[in-house]
Amino acid sequence: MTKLRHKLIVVLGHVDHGKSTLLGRLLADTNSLPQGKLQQAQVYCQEHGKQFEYAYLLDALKTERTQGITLDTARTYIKTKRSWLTIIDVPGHKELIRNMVSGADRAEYGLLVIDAKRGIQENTKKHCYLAHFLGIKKTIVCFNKMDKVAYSEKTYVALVKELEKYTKNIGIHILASIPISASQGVNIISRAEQTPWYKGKPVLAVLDGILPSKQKVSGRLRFPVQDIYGFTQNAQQGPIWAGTVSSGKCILGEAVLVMPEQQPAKISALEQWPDKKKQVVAGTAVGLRLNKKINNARPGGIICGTKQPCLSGTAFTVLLFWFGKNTLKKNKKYVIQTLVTKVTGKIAEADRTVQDMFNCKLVLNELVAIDIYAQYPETGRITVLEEGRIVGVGLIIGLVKE
Amino acid sequence: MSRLAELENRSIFILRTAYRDIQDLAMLWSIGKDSTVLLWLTKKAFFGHIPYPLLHIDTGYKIPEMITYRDALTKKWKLPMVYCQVDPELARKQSFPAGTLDRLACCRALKTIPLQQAISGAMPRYVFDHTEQKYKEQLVPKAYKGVILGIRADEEGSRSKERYFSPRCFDNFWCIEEQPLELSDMYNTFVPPGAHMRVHPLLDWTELDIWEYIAKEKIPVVDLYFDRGQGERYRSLGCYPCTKPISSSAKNLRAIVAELKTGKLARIAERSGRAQDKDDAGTLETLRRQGYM
Repeated sequence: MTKLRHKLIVVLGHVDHGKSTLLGRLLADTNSLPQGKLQQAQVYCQEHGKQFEYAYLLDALKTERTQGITLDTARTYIKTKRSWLTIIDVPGHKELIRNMVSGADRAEYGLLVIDAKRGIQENTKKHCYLAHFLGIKKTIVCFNKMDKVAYSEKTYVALVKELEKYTKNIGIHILASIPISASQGVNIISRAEQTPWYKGKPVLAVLDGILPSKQKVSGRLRFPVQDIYGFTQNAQQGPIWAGTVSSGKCILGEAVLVMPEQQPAKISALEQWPDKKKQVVAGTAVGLRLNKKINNARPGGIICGTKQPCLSGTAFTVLLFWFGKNTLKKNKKYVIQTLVTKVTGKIAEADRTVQDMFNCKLVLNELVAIDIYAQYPETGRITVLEEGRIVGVGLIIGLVKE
Repeated sequence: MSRLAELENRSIFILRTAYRDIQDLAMLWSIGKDSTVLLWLTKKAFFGHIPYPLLHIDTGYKIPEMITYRDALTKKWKLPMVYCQVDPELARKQSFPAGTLDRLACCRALKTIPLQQAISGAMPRYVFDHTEQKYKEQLVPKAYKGVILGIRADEEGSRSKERYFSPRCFDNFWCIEEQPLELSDMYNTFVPPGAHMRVHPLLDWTELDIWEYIAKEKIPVVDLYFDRGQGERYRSLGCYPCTKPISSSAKNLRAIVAELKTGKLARIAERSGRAQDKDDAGTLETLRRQGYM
């Protein structure tokens, strides 16, 4: 049996444009549902005096079903010929924009759904913008409810043009634009006779054909230190620096710099349970022992290669997306979270670019190890916490020399 | 990197974050396959060490082999085992098997409320003493601020909506409408006073992933999952009055994986043997809002 490719896709689009309906249809038509699930949803609708909708297969919560909208993200799984897709359904409602992020920031592809009759609307754009901000640069577009516009090629062409103008501007690459009707099952599994003018593939074939993005191991070593453990056996060999390699390779015996303090050392052991390693690549959870005692050793830093280590500083320029219910307040004390540590700090400057996006200057009360997002996305993000909850997500643009 | 390796690495990252950020952490070990995978991942995350107690809640209606297995592995692996016992008098009189409660109310009485009490320390806890080889009552049970659980998004609807770090209010209630924003690698780990955090490192795993991982890592699991000659096995473990075995001749891990992948179980829901899921659509959601795992 050939190995299935695993891909993570997030659905994007304005409220009521048919995101959950499309997913429900895909689930049902690809036999990805457990037996009886479809019938169960049909019975539910009958009992509650509602017309059956495929969205009920996704909107599992009672409140979602009574209100007829998606409230929170849901993970769902679809098997295609060559792939095993994890698809994240998201709410399209304006008030629920923060819920769209959860679970979606790791996605490789977007699946944008647009109501052909109502066209491109506020959250169509906002989701595209946010997806791009989160690092999702490729998307498949479904122009849904084509049955409501009599499968008009003219409408489709006009929409494609309008959307491309927008996505080009923000830097999103469109892989396919498919005219569909999720409720009628048009161009979902196979090409439909209703759209003879459409020469492309149906949704399923497009989803099946996309490739998982390649993992990069080419960057310099980044080993964000989650914690330092002294409870293990062989404690005389020094503590274990625990974390997950986020970039490059970790090689036994190599010289490293412990950031942000820039203390040099060598990797004296690569620990995994139950056995040790000689080398591990990005993405691997591992433990390091170092050949010498590090002064003021604490978790939260980054162990880097000696060439081109990460930034070390207290002030940074950041592109920040604000999700908080309270507005962003300049010079207020916030907790700022990097991948592996939390420090206090403030947003000293904030200039709104579009909607909830700000160009900021971040000033921290402690030295931190961090990267520029464009070079090292994993270690180049921060979040802003208010009362312990994430209210902002930021991408590091650069270091500010104080 | 293979899918299983990716899943393993992410779960380890979550476990280490939970251990670093949440004081008084415990892991619910239900003896089932998922939480046994969690136990294995804990050993990986902490280099063979288990730095938090493993909590088991015995309703008194658990399949007896589960308890035998629990105590055997506790001794063998020197696990920091803690269990809480639902009052047998209550279980005998106020339960579904007693005929006094429906399934939903029974789950609430014997599982949800005891879980809440086990977490808060309102219920006696029994800790396994490895020198004396027996359980002893914990003298001063302290409230856990965080509990690691082996739920997965593919199990049912309300679980597909979960976060890796899912805060519970003071009364254990899950405010689904108010879930905080979470990134795939940056979480809300702050626990407000009086509340506790549910940590879900296996959220992205599917049932098939779990079995493939068990096979790959050779993780010991209780043999109730295998056909032992009767032509049936359990696919999901719980209390015996509400958990029925499925008919299957899968005698080993390879056969289980095959059944799930392409065989007879490829399209049958995992919890199909769990009667409490069937009484009413949304039953599990109701239970989970009240604090059920």
